[in-house]
Amino acid sequence: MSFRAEVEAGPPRAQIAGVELSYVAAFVAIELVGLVQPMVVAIGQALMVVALINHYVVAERDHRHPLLLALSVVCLYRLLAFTPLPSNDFTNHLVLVGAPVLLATFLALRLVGVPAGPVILQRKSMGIQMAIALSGIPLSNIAYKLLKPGFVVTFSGANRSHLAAVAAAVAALVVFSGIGEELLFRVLLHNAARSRFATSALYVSTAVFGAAYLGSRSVPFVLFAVAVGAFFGWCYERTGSIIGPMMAHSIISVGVFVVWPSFAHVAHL
Amino acid sequence: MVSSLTRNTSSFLASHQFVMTSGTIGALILGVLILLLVEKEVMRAVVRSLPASTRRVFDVAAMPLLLTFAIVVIERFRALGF
Repeated sequence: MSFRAEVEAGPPRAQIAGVELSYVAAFVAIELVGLVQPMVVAIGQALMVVALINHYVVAERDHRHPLLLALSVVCLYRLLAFTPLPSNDFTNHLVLVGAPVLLATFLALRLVGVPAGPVILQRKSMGIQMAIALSGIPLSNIAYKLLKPGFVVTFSGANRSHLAAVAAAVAALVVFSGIGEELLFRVLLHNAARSRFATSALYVSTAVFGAAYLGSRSVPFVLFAVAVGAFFGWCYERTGSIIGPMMAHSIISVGVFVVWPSFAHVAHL
Repeated sequence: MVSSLTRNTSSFLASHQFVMTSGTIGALILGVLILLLVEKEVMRAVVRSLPASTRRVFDVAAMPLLLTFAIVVIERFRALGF
């Protein structure tokens, strides 16, 4: 092959895969170091966003790096998680972090040619999707017992919130956690990883999803997040629909932050 | 399960004053935003036949950062009593 042909062909696939895996490893490393100093996560992920966007633009001519763009949105999500607010209000945080990330996810999905609307509305094997969704009920109880979150919105007990505040928290959890995170980690990231790693894409998307939860500072919960990420990825891979994982993720989030904390005081009576 | 609301981020935001975090994180967000916007404009000026899709790649990060920066500025004004 001539030099010109080699340049036009671009680097070999194995080399590209190695570069992409290096970015994934850097993402995990930043999250790990962030356990010692949280500011490292903000600064590290900011640098990752710039590096990934630039790498994607430079390499875009051969349209073979959708994983770089997907990973840049995940890094952006981790950076924006540190968005400062005057009061540590649960719903405000969800909306003010979730809305910009959802916007980034929609823009990235449009760029890589995966329209978000048809993906969400795709109705394939609804019976199986409902079964996947119902798996969220036991999973939410396990997640609550492992996580014991500090930020909760309860509808009963001494510190119960106003009904409107509970409804707002539930809506924010469904939109920005259930729908937003599944669109990001499964539809955008998993699809992008599949274009490079085929069936091994599940390992990549699960590793990134698990690493995003390293900040929970709980090894059992991170292992749980890895297992749930693998399960949702597998469901999406096998059924081709994201409705079930979206509903299950929403149920888990609402259960962890609203339902189980509300019933927690009953158990102590 | 919300990966933006981990113990790490919530304890960081709770243990620092809003004035401090809005200064450091706000500056970081603004720095990345300016860098991406400058890059986008330089690329548009230098590469005449730059496809629209390439320009839109910068928007994937720039638009959410712009939105977040606007939120931080509004909250900062509110905290000052405006």
